[in-house]
Amino acid sequence: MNQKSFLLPYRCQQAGWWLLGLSLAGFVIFLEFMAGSLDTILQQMPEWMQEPLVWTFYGLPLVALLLICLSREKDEDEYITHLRGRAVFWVVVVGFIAALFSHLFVIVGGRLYPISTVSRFLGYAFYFKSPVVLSIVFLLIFKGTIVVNRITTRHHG
Amino acid sequence: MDNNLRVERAVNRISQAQLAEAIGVSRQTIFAIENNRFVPSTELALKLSAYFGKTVNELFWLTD
Repeated sequence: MNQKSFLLPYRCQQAGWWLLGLSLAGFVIFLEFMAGSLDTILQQMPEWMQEPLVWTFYGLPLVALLLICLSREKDEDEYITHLRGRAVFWVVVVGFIAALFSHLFVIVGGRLYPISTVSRFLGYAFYFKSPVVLSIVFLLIFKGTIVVNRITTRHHG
Repeated sequence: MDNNLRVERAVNRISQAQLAEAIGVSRQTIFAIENNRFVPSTELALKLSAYFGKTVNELFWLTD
């Protein structure tokens, strides 16, 4: 219990949730009021605005997710740490399987299938390896287990 | 590993929430230990045994 924790304070998690909510709301509002995909909208913008907007739309959710994942829980104890470790294990498994499949697609798929098919599957594998997807997998497992435990404790405690 | 935390709690007439607060963990942690979903650290086991005035071996034991 007196072990050194490298996690950020709980306030960072709260800031992360706010940042995620704001960036998603901004994303929805932006797409709602301006027709077309994000890339075509960005091209219509003045050149000096394009780069900051790209960073805002693609960078903010990632920063928010990292803040949430790397912060302590409000009532962090050794059981929460145990659950965190288990979620990290599954994230490593998902990331490893995605990396394995992307490797197989190149080595095996490249000999058996046309390049367009291989590229498509490589795209899927790329997204599964992305920090955003891995953060979401982590949050679903970690937060999901905490919520299920809270409900179970309330019913049986 | 098994334990008789629930029995000791019943004998001392304290709730999971009260025990959790006294030990400095969440109620979910006590629930998880009682249901053998989580094996506590040596430090937490010592705190629990000290709280009930028992030895760690009286509170926790190995099963096959």
